[in-house]
Amino acid sequence: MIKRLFSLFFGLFLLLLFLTAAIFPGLFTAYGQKEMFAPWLTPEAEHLLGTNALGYDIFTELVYGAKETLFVGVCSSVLTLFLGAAIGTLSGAKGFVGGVFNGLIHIFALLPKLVTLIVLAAFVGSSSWNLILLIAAFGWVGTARAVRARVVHLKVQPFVENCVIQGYSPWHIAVRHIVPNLSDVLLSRFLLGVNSCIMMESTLSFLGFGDLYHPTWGTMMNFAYKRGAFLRQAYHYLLSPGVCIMLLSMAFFFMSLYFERRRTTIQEP
Amino acid sequence: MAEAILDYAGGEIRARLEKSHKTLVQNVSFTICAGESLALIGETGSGKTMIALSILGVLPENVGQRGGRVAFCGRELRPGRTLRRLLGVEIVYIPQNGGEALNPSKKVKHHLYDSLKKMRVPGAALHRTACEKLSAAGFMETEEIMELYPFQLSGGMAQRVTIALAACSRAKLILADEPTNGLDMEAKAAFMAQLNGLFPQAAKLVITHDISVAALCDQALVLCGGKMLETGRAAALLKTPRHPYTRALLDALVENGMQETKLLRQETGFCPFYKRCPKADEQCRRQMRRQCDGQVEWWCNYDLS
Amino acid sequence: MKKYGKNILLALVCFLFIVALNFFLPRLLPGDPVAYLTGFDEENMSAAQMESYRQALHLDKPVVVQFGYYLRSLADGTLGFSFQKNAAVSSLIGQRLGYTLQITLPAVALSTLLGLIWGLHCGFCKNTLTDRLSTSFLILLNTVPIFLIGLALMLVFCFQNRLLPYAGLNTAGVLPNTPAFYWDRLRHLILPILTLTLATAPSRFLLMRNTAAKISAEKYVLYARQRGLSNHKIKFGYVLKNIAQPFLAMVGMSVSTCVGGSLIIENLFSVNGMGKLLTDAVYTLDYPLMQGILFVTAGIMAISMIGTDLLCILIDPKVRLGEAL
Repeated sequence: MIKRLFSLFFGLFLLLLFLTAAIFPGLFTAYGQKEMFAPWLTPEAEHLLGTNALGYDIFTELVYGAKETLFVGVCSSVLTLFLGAAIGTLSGAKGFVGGVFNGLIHIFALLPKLVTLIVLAAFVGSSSWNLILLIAAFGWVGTARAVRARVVHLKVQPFVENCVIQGYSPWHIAVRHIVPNLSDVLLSRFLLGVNSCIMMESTLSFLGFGDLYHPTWGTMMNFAYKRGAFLRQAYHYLLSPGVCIMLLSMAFFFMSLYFERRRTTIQEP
Repeated sequence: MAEAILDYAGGEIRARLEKSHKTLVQNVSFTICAGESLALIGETGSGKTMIALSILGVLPENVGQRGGRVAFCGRELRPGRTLRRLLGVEIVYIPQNGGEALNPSKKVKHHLYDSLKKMRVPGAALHRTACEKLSAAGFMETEEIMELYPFQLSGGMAQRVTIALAACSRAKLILADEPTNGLDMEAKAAFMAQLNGLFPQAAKLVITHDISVAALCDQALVLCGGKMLETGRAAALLKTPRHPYTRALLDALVENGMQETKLLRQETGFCPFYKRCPKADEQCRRQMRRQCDGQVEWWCNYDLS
Repeated sequence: MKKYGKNILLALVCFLFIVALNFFLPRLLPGDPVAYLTGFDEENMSAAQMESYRQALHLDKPVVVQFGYYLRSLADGTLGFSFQKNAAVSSLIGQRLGYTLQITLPAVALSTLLGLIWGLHCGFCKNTLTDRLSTSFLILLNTVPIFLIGLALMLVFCFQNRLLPYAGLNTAGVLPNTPAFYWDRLRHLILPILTLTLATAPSRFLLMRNTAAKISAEKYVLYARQRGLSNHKIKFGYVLKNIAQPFLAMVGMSVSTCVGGSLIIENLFSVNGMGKLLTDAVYTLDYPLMQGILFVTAGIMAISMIGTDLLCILIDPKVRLGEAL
C-alpha cells in the first residue's frame, strides 16, 4: 500500500513539475525562448544546460518545450480516450455492429503504425493539430481493446441482464450502465495512453516530422543531432530532451501503477 | 502393529487476504498406518484440499502453515528438496479432475515417461513399463491410448490416466482428491478396490464430501469449517454417529431421505456447526468438549449415541 | 482452425486496406492528384508538363480504370514510378531493403528470444526477487525512448571510447566478400541491432511473463509439481509448450514493430536502408516512393503474420488431429 502510494506521489510530483514548467515558464527561466546568446556554450551558472547552435538557452528551450510536448501528448490522449471508449463499447455490442467494430480493432492493431503515420503526415502536413489527430487515429487500439474486454465482462453481469429483461434499449444500457463502470479502465488506459502518445510524437519529431513552429522535446533532439552536437561533444544538448521525455513517461507510468491495484500482473504498455 | 506412515498434526493453516487473515484449518490431526485408508470428509470449503496441499508442500502463494508437525514414516516433512524427491516416488497425489490436470500439449505417453523418469526407469524400458501401468489402471488398447492427447480423452479415461501415473510409483502414501465424484455406489466400491489392489501396503487418504465413501475405508475424519469434529473407526462412526454434524451428513444421504439441515441462527460460535446444529446452546459458542469412547473421538458438548 | 483462419484473413484485410489507402489518399485530398503522384509542385510545372504527367498517370480515365492500372503496377513489380529519382520504386526499395532486414531480423530474433527465456523464468517464479528486479528494470527501460537508447549507446561506444563505428554499414576501403568485409559489417551492425533489441525487449518480456504466469497458475502445472517433477522439466515441458502459440503471435507482431523501429535506427546511425529512404522521400515530397515503402512495409507485416499463423497451425495438436472426441 505504501509502495503504491509512493509511486503515485512520485509520479504526481514529476508531472506537476512539468506542468508548472508548461504553464508558468517564467518561474523556471528568466530568458525568453528565442533570446540569442553565444552559440554552443557549455553548461555553466548562467546557462544551466548551455546554448544550442543558434545561441538559444537550452534550459529555456526545454522549459518551453514542456508546454508543446504536454499539449500534443494530452490532447491526442484525450482524443484517443474518446475514440477508444466509443469503439470499444460499440464493439461489445451484439451482432453485425459488434462484429464490424471488432474487426476494425483487429485491423488497426495490425497496421504498421509508424510508417503509416509518416506517410499520412507527409500528405496532410505536420502542424500540431494534424499530428494530434493522426496520433489519435492510430493510438486508440489499446484503449479500445481494454474497454472491449471490460464491456464483454460487464455484459454478463446480473445487473445488465436485469436491464435487458426490463426492456431498456441497448443505447440506454450502454450509456447509463456500462460506460460509468468503465471509469477505472479508462483512467488507467488514459495514463498509459499519454505515455504512448508522447512517445509517438517524440519519435515523429525526432525524425523531423514534427511541427517546426511549436518545437517539442523531440524536435529539439532532432535539431541537436542534425546540427552536429555529437561532433562538438555537446551531449547535454543531445540527451537532455530525451531524459525529460523519459521522466515524463515515468511520471505517467508510476501514476498508472497506482490504479492497477486489482491486477496481479503488470499490464503491457 | 503396522507402522504409522503419515502422522499429521497440522497446526494452523492461514490464508493471507487483502487486508486480513483467514484461518482455513485449525488443529486437525490424524495418523494413517500402512495398508489403512482414511476418509477425510467435509463439505466444500471445509479445508480438506488445503490439508492435502500442506502435506505435499504445494500450498498456494498466499497460504501459510504455522505450528504443527507432519511426519512421514517417522521423519518430519517440511516443504523443500527432500519432500520434492519423495513426491511422485513415495508420496503420490491423485487429482480431482483428470481432464484439467493433464498437460494439453503433451501426449499421454510423455506424461507417463515424465513420472517414470522420476522413478529412474531406464530409457529402453520406458515404453513397455508405461503400457504396463496403463493396463494396470484398466485400459485395454494401451498402445493407442499412449499416443492420444488429453483433449482426446473422456473424463473417465483421463481419471484412469492419473491412476496410471500414480501406479508408476512405489507409493507409501496416497492422497486421492474426490476420486469418486459422480460415480454410483458400485463404481465407488470398484475404485476403492482397484486402489487397494494397486497399493496394498500404502496408507491412503481419501478426500471426499460424500460420507458414504467412509464405508469403504478403515478410518474416517469429519471436518467442518477447518476443525475436526469427529474421527475414529469408520464402521463405528457410521453406525452410531456421536456428533450432530455427522448425523446431519448421514441424514442428507439419498438412502436416508436427503433430509435438510436448516440454518437455525445467525451468530457464529466456536463450533463451526453452531449455526445449523439443533442441539447447540450457549456453551457451544465458547467451547467444544473432547470426548472419547475407545473407538471414536469427537468434539462436542453433547453425545448423540 | 477457425481462429487461425480468422487471423490470416485479418492480416490480408489489413494489407488490402493499405493498398486501398495508397490508392485513394492522393485522389481524395485537396489539391491536384498530379502534385501528389509526381512530387512536383504545381506551380513549377508548365501546363504541357502537367498534361503529360496526367496522361502518364492515367488521371484522365475513370477511377475504376485507374485502380486497374494501379493494381497492375503492384502486380508487375514496379510499385509505381518515382519521377523525382527517375526509377521504378521497386528497384529503389530493393537496393535498400536488404540493409533494413539485416538490422530488423536479428533484432526480432534477439528480442523475442530474450523475452521468451527470461519472461518464462520470471513468470514461472513470479514475485521472487529475480522476478521483481527484472520486471522493475524492464519497466523502467520501457520508458526510455528508442532514440535516447541509441544516442546513449552511440555516446558510450563511438565517441567516448571509439570502440565501434557510428555511421553507415561499411568502412571505405574494405573489399567486398572478404572475411574482413563481413567482420566490418558486423561491427557496424552491432549498435543498431542492440538499440532495437533493447527498445523492443521490455514489451516482449512483459507479455511472455504474463502469459507464463497465467499458465503456471493452471491445474496441470500444479499437478506436475505434485508429481514431484523438477522445476526445469515443468518450465520447459509444461509451461513453454503451452506458451508457444502466444509466443509465435508475438513474433508476428514484432516484425512490424521492429520495421518501424528500424526507421529511427537508420536515421540515427545513417544506414542506407528503407527507413532512411522513407525520410528522404518525405523531405523531397516523393509521394510514389512513400507509397511504395508503405506497401512493402504492409507486405512484410502481412507475410510475417500469416507465416506465424501457419506455424501455429502446424504445431497445434488440436488442429492436426481434428477436434476433441
